[in-house]
Amino acid sequence: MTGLRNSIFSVLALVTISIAGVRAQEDVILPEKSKYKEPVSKVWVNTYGNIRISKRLFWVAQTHFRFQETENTPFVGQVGQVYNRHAIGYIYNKSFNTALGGVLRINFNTDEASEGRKVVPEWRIWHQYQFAMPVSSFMVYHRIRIEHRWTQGFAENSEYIFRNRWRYMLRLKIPLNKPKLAPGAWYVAPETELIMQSGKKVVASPMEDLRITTTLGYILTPRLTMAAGLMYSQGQDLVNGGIYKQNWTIRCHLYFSPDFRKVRNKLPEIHLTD
Amino acid sequence: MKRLTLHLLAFIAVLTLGTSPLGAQTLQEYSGPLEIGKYKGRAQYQYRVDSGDTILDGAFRFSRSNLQSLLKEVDTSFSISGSFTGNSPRGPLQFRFGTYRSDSITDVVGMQYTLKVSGVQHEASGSLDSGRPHGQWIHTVSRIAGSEVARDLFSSSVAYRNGIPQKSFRLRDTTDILVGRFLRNGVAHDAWTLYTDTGAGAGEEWVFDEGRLRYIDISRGASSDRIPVWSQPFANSRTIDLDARFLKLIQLNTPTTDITSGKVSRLLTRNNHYYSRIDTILSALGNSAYRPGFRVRVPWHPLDAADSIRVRQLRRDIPVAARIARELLDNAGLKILERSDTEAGLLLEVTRMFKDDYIDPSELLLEYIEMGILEYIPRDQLIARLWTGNPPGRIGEVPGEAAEEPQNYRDTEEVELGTPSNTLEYLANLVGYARGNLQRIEELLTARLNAERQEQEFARTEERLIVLIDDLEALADSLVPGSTVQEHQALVAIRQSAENRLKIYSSMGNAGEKLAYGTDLLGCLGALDSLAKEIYRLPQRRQAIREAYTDQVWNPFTATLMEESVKKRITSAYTEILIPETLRRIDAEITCEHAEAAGNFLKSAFRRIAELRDEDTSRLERRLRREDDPEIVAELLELAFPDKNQQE
Repeated sequence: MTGLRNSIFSVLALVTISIAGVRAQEDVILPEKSKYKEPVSKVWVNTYGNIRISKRLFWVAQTHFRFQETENTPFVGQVGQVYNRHAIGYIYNKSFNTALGGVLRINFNTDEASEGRKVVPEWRIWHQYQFAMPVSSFMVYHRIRIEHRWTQGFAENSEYIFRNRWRYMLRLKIPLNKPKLAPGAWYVAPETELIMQSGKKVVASPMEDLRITTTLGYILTPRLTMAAGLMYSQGQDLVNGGIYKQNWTIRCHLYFSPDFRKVRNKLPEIHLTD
Repeated sequence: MKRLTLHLLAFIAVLTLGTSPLGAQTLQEYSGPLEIGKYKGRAQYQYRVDSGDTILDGAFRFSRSNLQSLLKEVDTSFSISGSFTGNSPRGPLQFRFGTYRSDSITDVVGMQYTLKVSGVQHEASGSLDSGRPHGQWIHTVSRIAGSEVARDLFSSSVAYRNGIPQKSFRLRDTTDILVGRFLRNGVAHDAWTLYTDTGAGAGEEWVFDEGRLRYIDISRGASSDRIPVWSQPFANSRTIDLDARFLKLIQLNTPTTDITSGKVSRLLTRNNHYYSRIDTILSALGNSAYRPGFRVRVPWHPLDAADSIRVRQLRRDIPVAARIARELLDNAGLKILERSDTEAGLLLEVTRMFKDDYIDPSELLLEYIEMGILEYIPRDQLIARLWTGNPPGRIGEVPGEAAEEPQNYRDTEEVELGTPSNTLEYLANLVGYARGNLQRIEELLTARLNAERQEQEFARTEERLIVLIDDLEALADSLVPGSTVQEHQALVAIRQSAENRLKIYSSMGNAGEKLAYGTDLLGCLGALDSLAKEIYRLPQRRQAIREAYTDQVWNPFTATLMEESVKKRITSAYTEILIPETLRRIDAEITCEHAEAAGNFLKSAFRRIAELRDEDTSRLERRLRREDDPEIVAELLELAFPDKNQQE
């Protein structure tokens, strides 16, 4: 709730600032050829909570810790961002569910040379639509996620920038040692997500990120799954569309979905469409 | 008993009426139900109570009629009216007994419904003094049609003085009239003549001489037969009533002619019957002697003291011997055994001989004894007639069937028979001999029958033992999908235990002990078999438990339904503690009691676990967490873990 109110304040603030006269953007010179930056290695530790609150509703509670390499701490790096993503999800049926909520991301300044602030908040409103389809023994997921994002730099008094993010992800979960996804199953999940962005500040860099990941997961119980994978991603620099950032990210996931409802209310869960 | 009923009813009447205290000499009145033998109806009478006894005194009425039963089928009604003095009937009495049917057509005459009946009616009227007939007594039996007398079936008219018939009597039925006269003391005298309507000259005449029936003339048209009865005067005689005994004595004295089916005999018997019908009721009510009182004289051959002892022996031995013979010959088991067992066949044949040659004639003799006519017949004549000659001696040879050789029967030598003679002494010995032999035969045959039954019992027991052993072997040999090594080992141990026991059984010699062990073994193998079946079912039951304890859970991350095992502490208590521990305690030395307990435990454990699925078990699960002692785990689950140390 606080997040939402803050977001609204942020929107108002942004509008006020925009009207007050934006400082002119520095001239950006696109390179002749696209220019790829050296890949940065990161480690993401993500927890995903889906807490069932009724037959069809669940509370999405995700906390991500993103570490980024620095000169002093290569590879694993230091905490770059801490995500707090919350939403209310709705299970329409076995094949389709949606969610709507907000994100508070805490961005830490990893640039040791920076003079700016150490921590800045970032606000988002997000909604997503996920389609799940069984194919043979594995599952295919299409996820459309739309985020409305307000970001600011680390510099003192830096303005919030508003952008929309358009995300589409194709993901497979393929059980390895079981005929289907079930407790005790190892699975491999290749996924690709394309994140496009739009907004006034987005002039020549609509492709924010293209993430190619493969994860290996293990389903401990229907309520607890652990996974780890490696992600390669690249995307245009917001300021200069000719410059592409690259990342290699080790991702660790913990998926949990507790259900605190009374036994009486839980059954029968199989009849979702009744 | 009748008196008792009457007293009871009277007592109740006194209590309910409450007119006067007990013991008072005042007359009281009873009105209510009364039952005398087969007569059940409503009575109204006066009585007084004297020293606790009910004394009938005054008017008496007892009757019954039932319209419902008349309309439905047949009504048996009766009505008795008269009076008593000092518990004895006195003065005029009227009796009516009727069996009526109705055509159910009613008529209203003078504001009353009338209903015509048909049937047979017996009416009797006359006077009594001190319970004895006094004055003219008339019995009439009539056929009633449409509520009117259609035909007289029988009538009897006798004049009495203090119970002694006077002068003459008349008995009449539809065709014949019997007329006879008495001496002053009621003794038959002179010719008793039967006239018949059916044809001139056809008649019967009994000629008495002061009570002695000298001869009977039976005439048919022109011809006439004279049957002498007691032609000679008696050396020794007794005066008795002319009743069934007398008719029997005539019959025994004139064996060639059937006197009892003669017309005179029939009329006299019928008259006796109607008198006794009334006597039955009067005797039940008070002191009375209502008899025809016709007296006759018969020869008397008194029984001396020794004879009386023999009569007592005969009365004791004949029924016993007759019962044994009948039971042996009617025994279905023996009838079957006879076909295969020659010795049993011989004994049964001897039994048959005893029945035909010893018992059946003796039973006739017993009948005479019971009738009380033995002292009026010369015994030697009687016995000679019963056996046509002399009674038999010992049984020695038993004739074989057709071509077979006769077989020898070894009788008991306990009884010294003596030379066959027509004396009560010899008869008593003979019947004692028959009784002794039959009792021995009964013992022998019962023993053979029991031996036969025991053999059959063995066969049945062993058949069932084999079925159980086969079953156990099949269980031990079978491979059940999902079964564990431990289960297989337990099944093999159970089979081994069963085989060990069967070995003991087959090596036993003593038949009685063997059969007892075999019977126990049946129960034991039954318990082992039940246990083996429980073990055989374990994989299937584990699967059932697994399925029952699996929930379908929605996994939002995969968007799939996943199976989740729930209440794992309970299922693992079953599959990882209770079952393995039970199986671990099963070896080839298992006792029958432990086998039974273990089988029951496996069954109830499964049932209990299945029940717990739907119960709130959070507390139980917490308590199970640290527990792996099977007895405590069983206790937590409200089960009793079988104790291996149970004694066999």
